[in-house]
Amino acid sequence: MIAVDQLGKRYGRIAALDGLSFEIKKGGVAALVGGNGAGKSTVLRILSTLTAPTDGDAVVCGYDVVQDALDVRRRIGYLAENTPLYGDQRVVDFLRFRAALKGVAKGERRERVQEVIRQCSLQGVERRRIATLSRGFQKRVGLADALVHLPEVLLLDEPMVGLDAVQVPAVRELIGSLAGRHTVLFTTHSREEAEAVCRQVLHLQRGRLVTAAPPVPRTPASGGIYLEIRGDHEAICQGINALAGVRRVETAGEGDGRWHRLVIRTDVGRDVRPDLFALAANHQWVIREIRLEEGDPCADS
Amino acid sequence: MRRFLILWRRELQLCFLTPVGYFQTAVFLFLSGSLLAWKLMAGAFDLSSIPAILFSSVFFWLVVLATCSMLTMRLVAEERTAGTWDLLMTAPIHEGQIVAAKFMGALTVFVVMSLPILAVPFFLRACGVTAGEIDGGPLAGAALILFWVGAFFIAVGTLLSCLTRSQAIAGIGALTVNGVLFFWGAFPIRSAVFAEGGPALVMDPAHYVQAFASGFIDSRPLIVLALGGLLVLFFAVQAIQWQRFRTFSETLNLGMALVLALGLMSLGVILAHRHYRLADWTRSHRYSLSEKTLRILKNMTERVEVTFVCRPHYTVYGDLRRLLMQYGDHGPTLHLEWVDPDRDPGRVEELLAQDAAVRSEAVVFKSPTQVRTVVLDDLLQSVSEEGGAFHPRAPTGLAAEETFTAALLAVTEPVKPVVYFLMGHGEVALDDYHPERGYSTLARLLRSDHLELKPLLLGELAQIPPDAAALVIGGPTHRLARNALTAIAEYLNRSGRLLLLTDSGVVTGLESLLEDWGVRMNHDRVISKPLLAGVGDALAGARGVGVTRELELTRLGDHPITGPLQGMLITLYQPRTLTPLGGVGTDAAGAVDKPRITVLASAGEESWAETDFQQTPPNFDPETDRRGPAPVAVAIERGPAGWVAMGLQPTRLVVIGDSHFAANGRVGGGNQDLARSSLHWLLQRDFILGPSPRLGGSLPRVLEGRQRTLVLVALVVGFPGCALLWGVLVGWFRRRV
Repeated sequence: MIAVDQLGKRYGRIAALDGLSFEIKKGGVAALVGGNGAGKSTVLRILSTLTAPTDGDAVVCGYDVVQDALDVRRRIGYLAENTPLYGDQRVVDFLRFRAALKGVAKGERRERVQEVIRQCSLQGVERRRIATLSRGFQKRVGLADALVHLPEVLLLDEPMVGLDAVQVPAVRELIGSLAGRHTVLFTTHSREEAEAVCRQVLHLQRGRLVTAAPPVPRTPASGGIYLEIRGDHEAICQGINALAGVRRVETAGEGDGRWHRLVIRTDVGRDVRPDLFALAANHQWVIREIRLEEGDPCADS
Repeated sequence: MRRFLILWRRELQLCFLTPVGYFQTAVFLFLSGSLLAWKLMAGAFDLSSIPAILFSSVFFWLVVLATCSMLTMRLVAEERTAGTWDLLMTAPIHEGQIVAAKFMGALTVFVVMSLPILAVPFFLRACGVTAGEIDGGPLAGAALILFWVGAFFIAVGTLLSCLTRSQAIAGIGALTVNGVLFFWGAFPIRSAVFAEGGPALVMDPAHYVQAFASGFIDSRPLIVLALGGLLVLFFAVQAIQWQRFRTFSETLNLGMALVLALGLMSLGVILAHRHYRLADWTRSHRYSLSEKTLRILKNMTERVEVTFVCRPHYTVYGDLRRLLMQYGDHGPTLHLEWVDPDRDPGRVEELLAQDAAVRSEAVVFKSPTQVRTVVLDDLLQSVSEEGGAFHPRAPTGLAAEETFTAALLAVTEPVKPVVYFLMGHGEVALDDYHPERGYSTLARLLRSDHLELKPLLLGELAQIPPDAAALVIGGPTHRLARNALTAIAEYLNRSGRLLLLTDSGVVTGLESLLEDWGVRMNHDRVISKPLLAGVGDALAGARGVGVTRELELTRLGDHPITGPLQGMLITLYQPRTLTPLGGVGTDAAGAVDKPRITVLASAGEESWAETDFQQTPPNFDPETDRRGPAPVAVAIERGPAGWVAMGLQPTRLVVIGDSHFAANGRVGGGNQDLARSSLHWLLQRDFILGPSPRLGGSLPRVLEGRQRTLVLVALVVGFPGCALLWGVLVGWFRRRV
């Protein structure tokens, strides 16, 4: 549903994205995780046709985001990070206006608006002006806007930012519930948040993908980490062995040429994955998969 | 289209469902209304000239500029700042639709804002101001150019709003760019780069907005502004698209697209300048050239350079300029040149070397052989306003077309035809200013037709001078001497031309001569009833009551003299009737030596030829009097017909049974055209036949005390106050709901 291949975006000499490739299947929920400046929002802006890439291709629902921008726009719902809305309008008027603009048939418009109001828990505030709503409610209005025309793809930029502790689980649940009906790609700073919602986490660092793996339950007790990584085999092994908490590195079967399959044995309770990501980023190794060894009592004690 | 309408409606909501739009409207109405109130109270005006009065003010256009900038600065820049631009750009809507909707939204708001100002003439009439009639033409022209120029301003503002995130920069930028484009005529660079009158001139709106507001429509600025506006909007769309990419190749593509668009725009400007249309939307066709002028222009073969030496602030600069543009439009051999003496003193020096009269505001007509200068101050006639107020130099008395056409004739006709006026038998004198018995006005008009007029006294050895192009016998009161009659008869036999204006009850001795030419002059006078009288008066007319001695000619013959005068008011005073002998009409081509007689005008059936000159009041007597219709003017021609080219000239006579119709007090309206056209037909100057130019305009009025207060209150407080109050109500209502 979303396919990104060697995507690059440069602002002058600065590369916001560099050779980014990933794919999200129909109905999947994926998260772009990374710190500030990692390039998460840039990916979403490219996929939502707000900006064009300088390199590579991005295809949404089979349409190129540069060549077929209008076709892409018909199929996406986009929630910007700061949730811009027309503050002078009432919630219901805004949603009707957006539904009309997005091509929802006149006969279905009222029903769709009521549906997203219910879906985003906006009952009770739908007659209020948007400017008078709290930031949390405004976020929900933005989400409702993204959903109102039943898009095939939802692109949500930091959907949980600005929500209070009570609202966050609700929105998480909402995003999770969209899986299957919509293909969802959202950005977040928090890996935990991503893993709590989705099955595919794309870790970005300085415009590059450092991992793309389905989340695994974080078990402090586990001590075996399965890793698929691309780079110089010896250098990888030496580097990982040098990390604190790593006891040894084993080769797990034959790799497919460039990719090496490794199992890293660590001290009990020691999670070395952040160190692994940093190491890979520093040496420009690419991690294809990383997960805790299932059923492994965490290695030798 | 649907999405465009949705966005357009959203723009209107932003303006009219928030107090901001009403506040903007109030400011616009306050400033323009104050200006108009001040102008209306400062001097005289008529209702049809109100748009032109307002549009002639630079301040008004500054207000329009500022309003358009205010309306457009937020269009895109505000959305960018607020981030809502992303909402639009991720919706399935093309950038062109967004730009078009924003542009149309702002334009609609501007139109709504301006409507109260355009409705001021109706308001004044409702208040009892009776200065002339409201003329829909100038009002429509004013609305057209205001909206057209406003649309261009808004297009530029939209573009600038697309280029920046800052509303202030967008607003100031739009004000600056539009200001330079609108007032660039005031910059000296234009004279240096473009010749005045060239294609660049049509891009100078300050020159033509007042013309439109006066009802004079020119297609050129409309096309240029439309092309310019579309180009600017195209730029805006390209700018938005470019902001998505910002790559070198896209920048290059954009640059090439813009160059191409600029090229097309330039081509459009040149085509618009070469193939343009002028239209006169005024009810009185104030800016339309007369049929006579049009004929002269059409028949001109020589190149004539017309140089308009005038400062733009001259009293009637606009009127004269528009008039000359009409000349240029209809005269293919006419070459117009506009010279501002302050800007181009060198050119004035050149013209001074030709004619010293150019020292003041003037129009110089120059053919390869002759130069004629018309000093513009001479065109202005003082007009006394009804009610005693006096307004010197009001343009309503402008006799420009008459004078310009005369000047054209003067420089294009190599020889000035000499017309002799027979004297010595009680004829009306050329230099007599008497309203009933003087031809001084007719003489002035004929001289303006490039004729030389000379009195003729026939002595013992009577002979019509050989240089006589025509002879006029105007209202003789005594019998002509035998030698004079012989000279006239000989003259006519030598392909002479005679205009005979002979009154009823007078025996001139020409009766037998005329019978030789197939026309009998009857000893009677035509009595008629007024055309506007009722049925009762018609019955009374039979008893001699309610009759008039003035005959309004309604039955004009199909002849080159009278054909173009159909429908005009021509009045004869107790004319005598004329009877064509041996039938009327053109004989076969073989009858070259037989006179061909055409009835030019007849008295109607409601009139009769009264033979009893002593009867008072006149009464129809079936025994002696004759019922109408009866001919009162005839044209006689003998000799080769027009298609026989043997080098022979035909003899021509025009006989009219009245000489008073051409006297000073009666020669206005259609009477002068009958007299002039008759003479021009005799002289075979067919190109000059037809109605002459008319003086245009209506008398202006000043506001009275109560009206002044009403206008002041309405324009300065009422209109803007209503907008403000409405805005407050909308704001209050929105807070409540």
